[in-house]
Amino acid sequence: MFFRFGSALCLVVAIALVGIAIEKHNLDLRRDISRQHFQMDILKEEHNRLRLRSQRLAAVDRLFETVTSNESELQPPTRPVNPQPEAVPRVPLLFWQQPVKDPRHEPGMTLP
Amino acid sequence: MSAAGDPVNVPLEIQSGRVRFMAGLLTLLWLLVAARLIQVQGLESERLSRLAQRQHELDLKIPARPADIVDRNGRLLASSVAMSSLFIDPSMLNVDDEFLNTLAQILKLDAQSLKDRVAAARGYRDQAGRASRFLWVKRRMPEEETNQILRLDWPRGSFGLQDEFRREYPQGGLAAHVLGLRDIDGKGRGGVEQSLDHLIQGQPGRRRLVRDAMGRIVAVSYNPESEPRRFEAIQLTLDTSVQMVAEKELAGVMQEWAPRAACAIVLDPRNGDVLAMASQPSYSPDNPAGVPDDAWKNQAVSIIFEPGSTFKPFVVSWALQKEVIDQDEVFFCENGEYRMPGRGTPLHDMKPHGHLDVKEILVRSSNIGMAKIGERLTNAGLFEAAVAYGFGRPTGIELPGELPGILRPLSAWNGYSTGSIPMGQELAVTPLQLITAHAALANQGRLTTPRLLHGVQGRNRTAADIFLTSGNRPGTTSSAPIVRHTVSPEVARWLVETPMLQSIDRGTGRKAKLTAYSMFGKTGTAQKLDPQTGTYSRKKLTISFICGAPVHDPRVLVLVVVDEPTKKPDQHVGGLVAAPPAGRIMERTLLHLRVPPDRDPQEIKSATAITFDDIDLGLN
Repeated sequence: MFFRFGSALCLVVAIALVGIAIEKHNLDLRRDISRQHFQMDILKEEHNRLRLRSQRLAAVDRLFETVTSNESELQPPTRPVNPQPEAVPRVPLLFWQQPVKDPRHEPGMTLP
Repeated sequence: MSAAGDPVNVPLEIQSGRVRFMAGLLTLLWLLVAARLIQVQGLESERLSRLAQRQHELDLKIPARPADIVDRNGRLLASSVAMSSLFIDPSMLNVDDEFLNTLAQILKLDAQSLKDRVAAARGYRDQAGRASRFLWVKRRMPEEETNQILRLDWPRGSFGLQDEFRREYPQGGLAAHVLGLRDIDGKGRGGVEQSLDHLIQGQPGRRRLVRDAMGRIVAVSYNPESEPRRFEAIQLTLDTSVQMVAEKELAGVMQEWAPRAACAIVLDPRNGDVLAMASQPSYSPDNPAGVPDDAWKNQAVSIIFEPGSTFKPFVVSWALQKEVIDQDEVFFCENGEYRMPGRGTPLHDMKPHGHLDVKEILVRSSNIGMAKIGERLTNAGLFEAAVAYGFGRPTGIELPGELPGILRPLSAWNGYSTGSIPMGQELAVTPLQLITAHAALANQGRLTTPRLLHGVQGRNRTAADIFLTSGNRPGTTSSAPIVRHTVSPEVARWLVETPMLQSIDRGTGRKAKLTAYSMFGKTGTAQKLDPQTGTYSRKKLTISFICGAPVHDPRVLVLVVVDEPTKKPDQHVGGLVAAPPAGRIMERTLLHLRVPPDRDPQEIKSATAITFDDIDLGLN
């Protein structure tokens, strides 16, 4: 009787622990997905900025002046070719959350 | 007898009563639990569910990135970059002056002004006595400033950053009047930014944030259906290279002739595509605050002027179409002075002409010959011609502020009108109306609606819904331009290939002649009304020149309009002021479009310099 009761109790506890583990894993996966979406947003924005810069450099007016004056106009890069990690605050996980964006509140930031 | 530790004999009745009391109490408790359960799960389940959801989830509005604007070749004309805007909660920002000084220094703001704004916001109370909780400090900050802001020692919950988009124009001031601007709130102001705002701005989306019991964000749920709906790009018919050529030439005109204003339009007559639209004075979109008032106006659609001689081909074409004249018919041009019946003042030609056929009337731009053709058409026919070519109403191009021109009702016309209308007076047109009407002649009589919107580009499936609601069709190109027939192809072809061709080869437009391409065109030198005297001024002129090429299959039309030139007053004629830049624009455009030459340069004498005396002024 005692053995059966103990076994049932262990089974229930085991099932609960597995459930919690699955829930945590699920939460981790959702965090990863959120992070990837966030990274995608950053990359899209960066792509947009680079495209804008390339179009600005290749502006018809600018090229026309360069070609007609027979001068090549080279500009130094605005950022290092081999960039070192910048001493800026680490980008928070969920940068888009509003209105507070204070990196000191990581992980997870409290909304007002 | 009773002693400690002895069992107490309780009467059976009392025992039974206690049991019943306990049973009743338990039953009541169970009933309370059941009632609460019914209340929570049944009666108020929806309200409580919403409450719980509100505590656990938060909907965040995600603004849609405004669509890019590209030219017909995909070159970027306008794009948006996300930037952070800083706001504060004044009631939470308990900081000393030193903090505000540092903040102002980082943001490059005036420290005293910032302190005053914060103090005013702190002291503000609404009608209910509540304090202000929001104040913009700076909008659309550069990335470096944002990083420095995040390093500051902010009181908790006292500030926030909001993503907003800043519009960038990588081509600088190119096509500034066509593009327009977006204001600080992201609304389009002027140009296609305003007229196509419903396509450019898109629809904001929403993202759901999931919070834990402590209020921290633990996940973001993505739903493709609730993401922002937007187009990737709005494609215009403009060609950046052609636009640049037009603007360079126009800048040259401004320098050489110092006019009040000028504009140039390059149009594909086959479909009404506007390849370039330049207007002077112009402005740079990077510094909208410093733009002079007169530079905002797009001269191509927002000024009206009497077209002068450039209107004459329409009258002739309509007369031929209505068969009131023949192509070979000869008119006596009265040797330079004609007292028209019903008209008090006589009509004059700049040079006296005797007998001229219809072709020569146009080539020599004879006002008297045109008046006689007008007599044949009568006022009703002249009015019909003006309406058929689209004068008196906006063309319908996708630009705000387009004027309809002035075409008075037929009932207001009189005997003067019969002589004035054929030489382009008593009506006013916009440059775009004029080139659109000439495009009908170049396009075998088919009048098309000029257009700037070439199509939309977008991978967002739902973006098609937005476009459908605007009355257009999704796809790579916009709906076909509206086509209306004016005159027969034979009449249009004869006009283009005979008198208008010869106007360039040996007439007033010789300065625009190209060696490799056959070209047709017409100059116009219209006097402006002098408000002081109420008569036509001899000094204030609107000079125009319209040309097209190649003659047998016109691919490009160019119109240059110069308003009130001031320098070199003895040379203010269309053939000298407007024709040379128009010719250069035409040549560069044809070469850029890889249009094969239709003339053998060996057989053509190169264009020679002409003197003022060589030119038949074509004044009205």
